[in-house]
Amino acid sequence: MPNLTYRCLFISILCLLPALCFAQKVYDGQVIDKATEDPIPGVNVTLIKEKIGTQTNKRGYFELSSEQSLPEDTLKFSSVGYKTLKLPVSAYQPQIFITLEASSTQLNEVRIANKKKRKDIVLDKFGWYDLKDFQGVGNGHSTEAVKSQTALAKFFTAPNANAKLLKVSLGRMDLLSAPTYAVRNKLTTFLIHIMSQDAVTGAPGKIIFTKTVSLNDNSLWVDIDFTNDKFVIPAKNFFIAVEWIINPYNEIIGVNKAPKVAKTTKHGYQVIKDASEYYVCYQPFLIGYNPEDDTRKRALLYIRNNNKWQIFQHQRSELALSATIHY
Amino acid sequence: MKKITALLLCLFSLRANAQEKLNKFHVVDSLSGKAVPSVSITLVRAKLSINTEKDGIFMIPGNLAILRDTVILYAQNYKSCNMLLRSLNGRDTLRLIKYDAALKNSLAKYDADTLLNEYRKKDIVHYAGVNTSIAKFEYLQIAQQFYTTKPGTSLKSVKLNRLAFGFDTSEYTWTHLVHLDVTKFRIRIYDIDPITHGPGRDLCSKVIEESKSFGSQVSINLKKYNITIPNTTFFVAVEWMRDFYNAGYSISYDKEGKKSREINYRPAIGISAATGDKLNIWTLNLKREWEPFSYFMPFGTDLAMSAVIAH
Repeated sequence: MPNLTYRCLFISILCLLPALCFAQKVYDGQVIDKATEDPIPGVNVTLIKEKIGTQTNKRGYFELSSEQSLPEDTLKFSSVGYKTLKLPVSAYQPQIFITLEASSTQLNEVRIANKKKRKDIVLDKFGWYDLKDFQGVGNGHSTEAVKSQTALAKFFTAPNANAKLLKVSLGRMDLLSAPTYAVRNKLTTFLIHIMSQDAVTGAPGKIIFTKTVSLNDNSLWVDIDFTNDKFVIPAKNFFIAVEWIINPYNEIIGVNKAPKVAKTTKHGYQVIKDASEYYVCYQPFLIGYNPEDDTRKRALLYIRNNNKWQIFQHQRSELALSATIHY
Repeated sequence: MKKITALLLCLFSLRANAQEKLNKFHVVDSLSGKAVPSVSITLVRAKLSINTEKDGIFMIPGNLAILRDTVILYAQNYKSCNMLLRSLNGRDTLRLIKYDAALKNSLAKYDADTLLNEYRKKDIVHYAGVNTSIAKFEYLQIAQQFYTTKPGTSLKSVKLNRLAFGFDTSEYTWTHLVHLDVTKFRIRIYDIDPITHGPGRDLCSKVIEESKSFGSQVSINLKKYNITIPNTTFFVAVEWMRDFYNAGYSISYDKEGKKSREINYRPAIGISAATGDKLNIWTLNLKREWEPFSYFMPFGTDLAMSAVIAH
């Protein structure tokens, strides 16, 4: 009997070997500057032992598919002007943020001679740390998906009127984990509106500028460049709204477990087993986070229902949506 | 499972109260009198369609004499049968007439395999076969059109991607739900219809039935069927078996946000991430009419379905 057990075990291991040998793994994440937290495009990302590599895109995002998935392999991140960083694959986490430090030689050669007073500021700034879930690490840090079928608007106050909008940054969530189990769709198109504040209600008023945003990767941190638009925000108080486009391109199919009860037999209705319950939701999913400073007042958030703006009642966390302005 | 007689047509079961008459029908071969398995029963006006099980039995509750609808009975290798629902009143047996529409397939030897419509599995993010907020998915079959360089090729195999959760990649392990996506479906091979330019007559009269418990990729070896493609284009279709085994649910919301939960039949079929210059997806609606499937246009022109042919 023990011989038979060992034989079965041996055959099972033999059967599993090919699967183990060829288990494909996808490494993805974003490479950012350690000091400025700006994405770094063009970083070479390589798996040293497997000898495969890729480069980060303009959002600093990389995706590297490993055919061999060697457990002892190391990810190497290198770019001109930055110190090379090596990360054992055992330390990799999905959608990782890699921070690269500028190399000292590069810094010594560069002299910054900016006598003008710095006037660029980030309103409602968030960091890469805010976009990640760190459950059970230290005090822990959790995020949540914030979404709507219509539009959400966040309130901002600039120091002065007539500030130039340079950039809008947002956190985009990838629905990977249970219980919300869904297809991973990196493709999305949505609208960003800059809106005035209604003088009477305080809610979002007129749309004064709109930009269509299309994304084709799974980066958590998304910067939307407005510098070429030369858009000036006319008032101190304004809203930035995200409008969802309900079309097949933005679809994500998810699944729940549901009891199946529809079978009719001679003996009446029968429940045989659980069935799939598919649902479709629409991208993007924004990230809500809890700031380190828990006493910080949450920015006002509005949702559009039946073409009317109402205060978003379910807001538990801060929406990862910031604006970089020049004034 | 022989004791199990049939599925009820859901809407009719809602309409009918407990005291209403239950009309039971046997679908049989007109010559042999034997039960025809997996007959597709469609009520056009009510937009309902189910498949019988192996016993060819189905039931409709209510007074058929006053119900206004058209029923279509269809099974592979049988002539489609359209009739008014009220004409079923008082009957218990429906006879389907068999015909052999498939072309005579040659046993000639072919070589030089060619792969048509290759797709990348990891890029697939869209699927056809689920109700959405935009449209209900009310189709009996979905087909991919393929093109060859010359007529007279042999179809050797087909590969397709379907929606499946769990065990599919190392990252997507959700063990307690892995068997939610079990499915059985049929593969149909069609010639081009000279009038509609959509799927026409069957190129294979044999039933090609596939089942899948988990994993998204389905590979079907067709060598034993000796299927010859007479023209330079052909269609491979997935025929849903609208029965209890394949039934699940789908949730969708209308513009006012009202939720509806309806029966949904597996499998959902992947859309290729590569966009072509022509729409090559066709669907068979409940009236049994083929139409181009433009839901995913302009980006979704092809199914995640490839075929290997030999010249």
